[in-house]
Parts: sequence; C-alpha cells; structure tokens
Amino acid sequence: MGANEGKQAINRVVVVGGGTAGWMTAAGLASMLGPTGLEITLIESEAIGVVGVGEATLPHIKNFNDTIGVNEAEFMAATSATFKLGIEFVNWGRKGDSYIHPFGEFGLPNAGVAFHQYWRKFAGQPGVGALDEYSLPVIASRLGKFQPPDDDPRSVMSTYRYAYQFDALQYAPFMRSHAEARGVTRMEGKVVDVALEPESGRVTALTMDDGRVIEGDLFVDCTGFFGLLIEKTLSAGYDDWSEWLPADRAVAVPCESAGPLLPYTRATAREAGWSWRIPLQHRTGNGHVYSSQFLSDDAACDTLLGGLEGERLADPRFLRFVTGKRRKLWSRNVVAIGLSGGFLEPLESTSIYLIQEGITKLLELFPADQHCDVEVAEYNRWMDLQFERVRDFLIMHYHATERDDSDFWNHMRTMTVPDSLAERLELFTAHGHVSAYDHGLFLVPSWVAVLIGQRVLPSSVDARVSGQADAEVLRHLAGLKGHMEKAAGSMEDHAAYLARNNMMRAAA
Amino acid sequence: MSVERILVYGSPVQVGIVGAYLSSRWLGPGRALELATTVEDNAAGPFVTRPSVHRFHGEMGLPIDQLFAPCRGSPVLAAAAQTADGGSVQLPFSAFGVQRGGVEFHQYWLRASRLSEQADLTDFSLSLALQNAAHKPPLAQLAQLPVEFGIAFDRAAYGNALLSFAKAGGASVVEGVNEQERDADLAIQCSPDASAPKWQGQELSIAPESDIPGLEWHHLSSAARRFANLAAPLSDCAPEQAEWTRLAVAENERVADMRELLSIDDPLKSSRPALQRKVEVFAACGRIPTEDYEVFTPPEWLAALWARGVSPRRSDRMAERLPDAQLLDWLDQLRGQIASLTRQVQAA
Ligand SMILES: Cc1cc2nc3c(=O)[nH]c(=O)nc-3n(C[C@H](O)[C@H](O)[C@H](O)COP(=O)(O)OP(=O)(O)OC[C@H]3O[C@@H](n4cnc5c(N)ncnc54)[C@H](O)[C@@H]3O)c2cc1C
Repeated sequence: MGANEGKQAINRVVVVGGGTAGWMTAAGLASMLGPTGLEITLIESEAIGVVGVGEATLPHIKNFNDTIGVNEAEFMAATSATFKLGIEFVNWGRKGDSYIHPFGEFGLPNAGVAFHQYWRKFAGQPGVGALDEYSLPVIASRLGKFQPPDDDPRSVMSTYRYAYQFDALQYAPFMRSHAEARGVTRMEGKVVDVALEPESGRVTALTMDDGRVIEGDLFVDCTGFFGLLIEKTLSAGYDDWSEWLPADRAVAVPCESAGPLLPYTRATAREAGWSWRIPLQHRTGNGHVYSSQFLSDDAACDTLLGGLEGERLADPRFLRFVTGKRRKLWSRNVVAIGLSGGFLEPLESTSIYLIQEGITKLLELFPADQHCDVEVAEYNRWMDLQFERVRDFLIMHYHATERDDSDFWNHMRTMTVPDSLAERLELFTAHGHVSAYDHGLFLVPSWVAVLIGQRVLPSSVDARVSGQADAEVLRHLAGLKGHMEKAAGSMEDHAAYLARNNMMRAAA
Repeated sequence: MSVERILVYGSPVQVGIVGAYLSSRWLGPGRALELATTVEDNAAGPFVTRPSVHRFHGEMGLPIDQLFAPCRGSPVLAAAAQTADGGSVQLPFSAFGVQRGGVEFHQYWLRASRLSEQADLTDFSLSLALQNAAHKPPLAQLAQLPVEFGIAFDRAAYGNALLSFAKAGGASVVEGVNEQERDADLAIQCSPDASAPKWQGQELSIAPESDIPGLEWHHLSSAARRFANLAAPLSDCAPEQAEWTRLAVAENERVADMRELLSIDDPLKSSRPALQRKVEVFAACGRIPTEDYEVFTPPEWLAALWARGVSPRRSDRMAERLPDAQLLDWLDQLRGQIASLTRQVQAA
C-alpha cells in the first residue's frame, strides 16, 4: 500500500459526544467493526454534560441490543427500565379522549379486508367498543400486564412487539461499559478546536481543552444540539420544520412513582403542546413540550408541576430546540448522529430510533477510504427519507384533531400540511385505506391507530364488509375481544415479571 | 339495490388471473363481474409466475397444488432474461449463499476472491443449481428447502383453470365484448395496449409487460390485489384511483430500471436516478439500495448487476470479521452443501 493510500484509508473513528447517541454509536461500531481493527475513540465532556432526557423507545431498539450482544435482563436492571407496549394519547382528538397507539396489530383481517373496516361499520353499537379494545398490547397495557410475544404466528400472542422505557442518565453509561469492553477508548475533556485539511475541507484532528490533539479518519458528531462538527465547523445547514412542528421548548422533571408500574408511556395534549409521563422502576419521568410562540415558560412549568403524580425529585429543567434536520447528515468525513443531526420533537419516541438507523446505515456503508461520495450520498438519501416519513406521522397527531380551545390547536388544525401527508389523509378519510410504503418507520397499524384514535373516521367503509351478515361479524368481534381479554388477563403483572426475571435494579 | 359491474377483458390467461382474484376478493352482494376473452393467447412457451404466486393463490382459496398437475406446472427458481450483448442472465429468486452476521453472502465471496481463486458467485446459488438441474424436485420437497420458487404453467390450461374458478365464484365468462358490456361501471383492460398503467374514470388499464419471464403474471396479479385492497364504490373512488395509479406507476419504474440495466451498453451511464444509484452504490461497496415498491428481489438485482459486468470495488468491512481460514473453509463447505443438496434432490 502506498503512503498516500494509507493516509486515505479509514481506520480511526473519533466519536465526539458521550450521550445516548455517542455511546450507542461507539458500542455499535465496536461490536460490528472492532474485530476488523477499527480504532474507536470517544470524547466526552462531563463539564458540558448530556441532554439527560430521551427515556422512551420503540421496538427496534431490541434488534439493536440483540445485534450488539446486550443481555436484556442486565440491561433492564442497569437502566431501571420498564417494558413499553405502546403510547397512550390523552386529549388529542378532543379533550377527554384517550387511545393507545400499540406496538402491534388490531384484530385480524378477514378475506383481505382490514380489521378496522369491520370495526368502523359497527363502531358505536352496544358492546363493540373502541378500536384499541381489539389490540392485545392495548388490553395488556390497561391491565398493567406484560409478557414477551410468542414466535408462533398462529397465536394471538404473536401480534405485538415491545420496547423499553429507561433512565436516560443510566443508559449512556451502560452502553459505555459495553463499548469499552469492546475496545473503545474514552477521553474526557472538551473539544476546543477543529483542524481541517485545507484542500478537501475534511476534519483531520480535534484539540482538547488540555491541549491533547486527537487525529482521526472519520468523525461522528454526537455533540447534541451543539452540532460542533457538522454545523459549527462544516456548516451543513438545517431544514427547519417548525412551520409544521412548532414545539420548540420542553421542561422536564422527575417525580416519585405513584401507582402500579405501567407498561406504556402517556402523552397528554395540553394548551400549546403536550406532556409526557414515562414510568421507570425507581421514578417517573415527566416533561412538557410546547411552542414558545403560544405559551410562556412559566405557564408551561406550572402545567407540568401541577400534573405530577408523585413528589418532585429535582428542579425542572428547560430545553430548547428547533424541529428539523441537518441538510446533510453526512458531510465530508463527518457523520451527524443524534441531536446534532436533527430533532423532530419527542412525540412517538423516534429520536433514539433515528440514532439507531444512522448507526446501522453507517455500518452498512462504512467507507474504506476518503473516496466515498457515493456512500455519503446514499446515506443522506436514506436518512432524509426516514426523517421525512417520521415528520409526516408526527404532524398528523397535531393536525388530525377537533380541538379548537386554544390558538395553538386552531393553528395546528387548520395549517397546510405537506402534500405527502395530505394525500394520505384524503385516501383514509374516503374509505379507510392506508397508503403503505416499504421504507419508513410507521406501518399501516400505526397510521390506523392514530387516525381512528383521533376521530378521523372514513366517510364510508370498504363495501366488501357488507358481504358478511351483520350478526356474524358482531359475533366475530365479540369473540375476538373476549379471546384477547383472556390472553391479556393471563399475562403476568408487569412489575412481577421484572422482579421474577432479575430485571429490577438493586437499591443503591 | 343497484349493482356495480366490472368488465375484465384481454386474453384468457390475463382475464383469468384478474378475474379469479376479483371473484374471490371483490365479488359479493350488489356486485357483478364479467370476464370477456377478447384476444387469443398467442405467446409461445409456458406462462411463468413469480414466488408470490403461492400467496396470491392462497388468498383467493385456490392452492397451487390443485393446479400443479392439471396445468402441467413446473417449479421456476430463476427467471431468464436477455441482456444487451445478446446473451442471457438467470435472475434467481433466492439469495446467493447464506447471510452471516447481517452481511450478505456476496460480500464474503468478494473478500474470499481476493484471498484465493473462487468458483463463480453464481455457483453459490442453490436456486440456480436447482433451476439448471436435469430434474426439478417435487413441490413438497422444494417447500422444505431454503428457496423461493414460482411455477411455470401451461398458458392455456392455467388460463382455463382460473376462468373456471372465477365462474364457480360467480363471475360470468364470455368470448368477445358487446356494446352493452362495455357500459360497465369499470372496464379493466388486461392486454398490453395501453402505454402505462392507469385507473381513471371508468377505465383501468393494467398494461402488463412480458419481456422478462414472470413479469406479465406479476403485473396482472398485483393489479388485481391492489384493486381489491383499495375497494371503494366505483362511482366515488377518486383517491383510490390516484393511489392505484401511483403504486402501479412506481412499480413500473422499478421494472424499467431492470430493463435498462439489462439492455444498456454501459450500465454506469444510465440516466435513470434509481438505477444509477443501484449501479454506483453496488460498484462502490457491494450494497444494493432498494426503493419503495420494488418488483425484483435483491438476488435478482445482484445477478443482473453481476451479469452486466458491474462489480464492487471493495467488500463490506463487516465481512472482515471472519478470519481468512474460517472464511475459505466456510465457502468450501457451502459449495459442497449446494452440490450435495442438488444431487440428493436429483436422486429422490
Ligand atoms: C425534551 C426531550 C425529550 C426527549 N424524549 C425522547 C424520548 O422519549 N425518546 C427518544 O427516543 N428520544 C427522546 N429525545 C431525544 C433524545 O434525548 C436524544 O436523541 C438522545 O438523548 C441523544 O442525545 P445526544 O447524545 O445526541 O446528545 P447529548 O445527550 O446532548 O450528548 C451530547 C454529548 O456531546 C458532548 N459534547 C458537546 N460538545 C462537546 C465538546 N465541545 N467537546 C466534548 N464533548 C462535547 C456532551 O458532553 C455530551 O456528552 C428527547 C429529547 C428532548 C429534547
């Protein structure tokens, strides 16, 4: 290999930032590429600290953990985690409404007709109930039960998946121990200077506040909202989506747990945003996400504190953000993963999923040398698509509402949405069909859950539903509901499951 | 009660595929389905279906095993397509080798080829080995093997069987179309006369293409499935029409990508963005980026890219986790397994 070629090869990765994104990236790279001789260094600054929120996840995180060899029970205990079967949305369609968006299916299709079409025809009739009463994870959630799904596709127990709710401040250290055990070198300190190669504009080295210089071939910017490399150094640009997702602030506070340990997150719509409630083993995470255009910080904080279910455990913390994404998530030899790459706000817990997607794509396209424009373009295309599809799903929550009780909701309800979303809504409201895609996070059951949960009902149903006698369909619905209730009833209590499987964190 | 009428017209096998599915998944109270065979099936050779034929038939309640013998079925594990240089390429329906640690087999093969001379990549395809063997294994045996397969049917027999099934399901079958029938609420044209698929007003054109074996079947079956899945009153279905057309056109774009890859002189010079991406990313690192609504599977793309002389400049770094000696042993074993499985199947 010539000397020049050697310089171009990628053998040293420097991850800047030790939050959830940084340590997940380091753990992912070390597990999958460490054995190939890739050197991974992570720089983090305790003085700067981490964002310290981000506690609710999506089922895909289990794949990530499994791929990098994380033991589930150890992980649960180390991060005080609970299981999550879905998200309860309160007051979204109208004040007083509640529905759960589960990680699973609704009912069973019949002769090619989706279950929600049958439900729609009989909705409102005695005994039929809400759509989510035909979802096993919803019933289990409401009963506070949990059991891992079954592999047998014929079993109703195979109709759902699960995610986790964990302590954000314990998760990064857990990933850190995993990464360090696989050879990642950690350096403590603040990056104060970034050296660029004059010709290519590529980052070559970072200088730390104690004068150390860290060289690298590829840099992963995990510096959170700072965007130290991707924006402050390379000026990648930002697609600002606050026109559709105007929430730009959050205030967060933990409180003591009250009541049983629930296997789901709650998102309650408020006057100018929404608040979260995430039950962990040792406490409950709470926060209020709002638009500063429509609500003051004080009012947001009062709403949050007024709604706490248990004793407050810390002072409220305020966070600011602009919803959107970097125009280029990978620019030159810098890849932005985590909040440095963009943030669509916490609704539906998509941020850690997008981190995971960024890591997976980086691994798949991991370049051999600096001549990697093709890989970079493909990475950016893929991640743009992921962000855009998540964006549309989030916008729908705000737009598909009947709420008219505040300026915020009037604005959200009447705003113009992206064409991609407008077409979906038009298709669904016609006869209940959902436009599907192959590449995107949220699948058909998720769109159905939120649309129907927020009272967007098709004006008429798939006419094939009439092909079956009403009495027969009603009998089928009742049977299915009973079957699911029985199955959920036989699951174990969520807290008991955690304890029996050594998943509870030992008291400090 | 007014009755909604659909007229499906085209050749017997075309009308049979669409009609059989609609008879089972659309027909019902207040609906009438008329199937008119307006042209003859002149194409020579068997009618090839793709692996999704099993699901398609399962959904309409006409299992493949019932048709296999009467329609002189034969399993198809790869489709043969023509290339620009006058040659042909076999596009296998299942993966080459086996995936390992989330990395596709060809990445290991690329790495191994740099270490020592290896048999051609195509020699690691069980699908191709079975497709090219003198005798195809029986269906029951194939179902036990890790391969996807479609079926090649006798065109006339398959068309007739499907038309009979549709008739038994309540459709009426006629030869030719009269003026009154043309007045249907929706006329579905199955023959390839239209230039692009479209559902607008009272006309739905499937515009099936048949230059790659299995494609005609795919266009017809997915048009019917998609139509049934978007079922709506025919007098009030503008959003469904737009969606059906959007999906069919998107699929056609993916087919056009494959067609261009097979026919263009220099695949690196394609001006089709999605194909360009496939070629460039594959050439750069051996990955094949996929789009929404792909028709061809990754192994088919791999075979086509390979056959057109596009080869990756490097292998996936994750494939380097396997030590050299272990890698070479594993490849030897795999080839041995493919050969012995093929022999066993032949002997059975
Ligand atoms: C209010 C809110 C709620 C959220 N809720 C969820 C949720 O429920 N689910 C979900 O999936 N996601 C959620 N998220 C997103 C989630 O918190 C983040 O995706 C996740 O924590 C990753 O953050 P990060 O690692 O990118 O950034 P950070 O945690 O901010 O880490 C940045 C790191 O960079 C380091 N750093 C910065 N500058 C320098 C420097 N100059 N030198 C050295 N080191 C430096 C810092 O020290 C730190 O280690 C939420 C976000 C917010 C704002």
